[in-house]
Amino acid sequence: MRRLLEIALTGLVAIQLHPLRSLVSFVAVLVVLVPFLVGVALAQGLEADAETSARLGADLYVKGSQFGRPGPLPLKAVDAVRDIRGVTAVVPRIVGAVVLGKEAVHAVLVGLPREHFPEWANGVEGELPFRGQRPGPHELVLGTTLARRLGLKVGDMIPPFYHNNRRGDRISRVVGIFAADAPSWQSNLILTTFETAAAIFDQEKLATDLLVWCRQGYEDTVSRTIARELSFPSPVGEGIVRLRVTAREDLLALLPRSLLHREGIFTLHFVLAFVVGILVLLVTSGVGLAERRREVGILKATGWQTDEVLLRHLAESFALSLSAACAALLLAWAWLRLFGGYGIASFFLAGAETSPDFAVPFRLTPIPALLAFVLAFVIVLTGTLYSAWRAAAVPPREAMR
Amino acid sequence: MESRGIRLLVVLLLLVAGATAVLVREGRAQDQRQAHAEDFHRLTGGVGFGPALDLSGCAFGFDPRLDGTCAEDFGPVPGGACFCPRHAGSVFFYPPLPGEEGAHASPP
Repeated sequence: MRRLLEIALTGLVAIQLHPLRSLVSFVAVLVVLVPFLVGVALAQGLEADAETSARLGADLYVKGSQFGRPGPLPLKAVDAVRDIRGVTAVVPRIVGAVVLGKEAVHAVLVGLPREHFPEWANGVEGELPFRGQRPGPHELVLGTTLARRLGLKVGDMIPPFYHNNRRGDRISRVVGIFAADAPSWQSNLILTTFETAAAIFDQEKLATDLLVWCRQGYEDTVSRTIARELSFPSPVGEGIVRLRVTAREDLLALLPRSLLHREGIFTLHFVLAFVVGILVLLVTSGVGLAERRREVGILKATGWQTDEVLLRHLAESFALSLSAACAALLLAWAWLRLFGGYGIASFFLAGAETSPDFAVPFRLTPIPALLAFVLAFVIVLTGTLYSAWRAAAVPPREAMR
Repeated sequence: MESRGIRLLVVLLLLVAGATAVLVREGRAQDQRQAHAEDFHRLTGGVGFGPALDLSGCAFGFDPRLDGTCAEDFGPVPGGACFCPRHAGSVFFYPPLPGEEGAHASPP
């Protein structure tokens, strides 16, 4: 056993005997593994955030539907839904797109009733829109990217950015900014009261969706009742608005299906891995074969057996691939955590800038790291073990020639 | 073993320790992130699900609760699901909500 360990340890020395060959293998493995780990970490981070969003949201989301397309709902739907047996709370919400500033920055405006907001929130620097009624400017909480791009901070005023023919235009005040480590969707978000959102979009007595909470076990019944029994006259006076319901389970069911589609990234990287692996194979068994043959010949002439030579090269491959996999993990972490996913986040998060100013969602977990190591080991082993075996299988005199 | 072999072993052990530390640290950071996420979703009633960060172009890519399908998904055409650039490629793809498949798609 001790002898086997000593032979395996000579594999470490073998890495330094041929530094160029080792460096090529190490870099080739890094090139494959770093984007692989970054892609998987971002996908897992996004998925975890999506699951949290579905889990912490309402039980049911109700929106209007006309001609199979989503549309707004009249506010009288709130009372109709609240009267259904099993419903515990109904909150109307407005979610819409606005464009701000000279640069035409796209933002998502979310309006909820004042009483929905707590007194204080951990994830907001500053205050929340005032819970009571008070005259004055509209009160807005901005996302981090939006605040930076518009050059706004807490307390700043925003000139009117909308037109309301009935109530007139009003200035707005930034009362808070979301914390940078809140989920990435906060980056371009504006949170305000329902009344303010209605005034900004000039859509009175309408909501884009209703958030519905139910007693446990009533979700299906309530969902069916809403979809089958409720409809309202269209806000424009013609036709009917039917209701469409999205349940939490519908959202959670999308996630396992997204896992299946993630095979795309694996396929892509396996193709890359084999391309680079073939290059490594060429370098190590083609360019480096003469060196390796001489080395193996000398070892065999000094009494080494074929299996001992193979063990030495197995240890060499193991050390190379382990170091490359660990270095790839550290580089991927540094890229995502220390440099905030510079350059790569904008590929995966539509609307993100090259250098995002929010915490990029990612999760580095042991399983992808282990997979990275196995992949690295297979690539390096392919390059070293076959050529070592070929050299070890011939007589030493021939190998040294 | 030669001293250069020991040096390499030390470097290897440092790399393994560094990688392990990163995995442990990220496990803990995830709990902290979860707390901020809870705050955000309680405030907004649950906003955001997909890889898009605003509603421009594809509300479905931002949140399927707002729009149950992608307007640029021409799925029956080979590669037609790839027209919309707001789904993070294949990294975080999710299908339309049940019953809303093809609600928006018109022939290309």
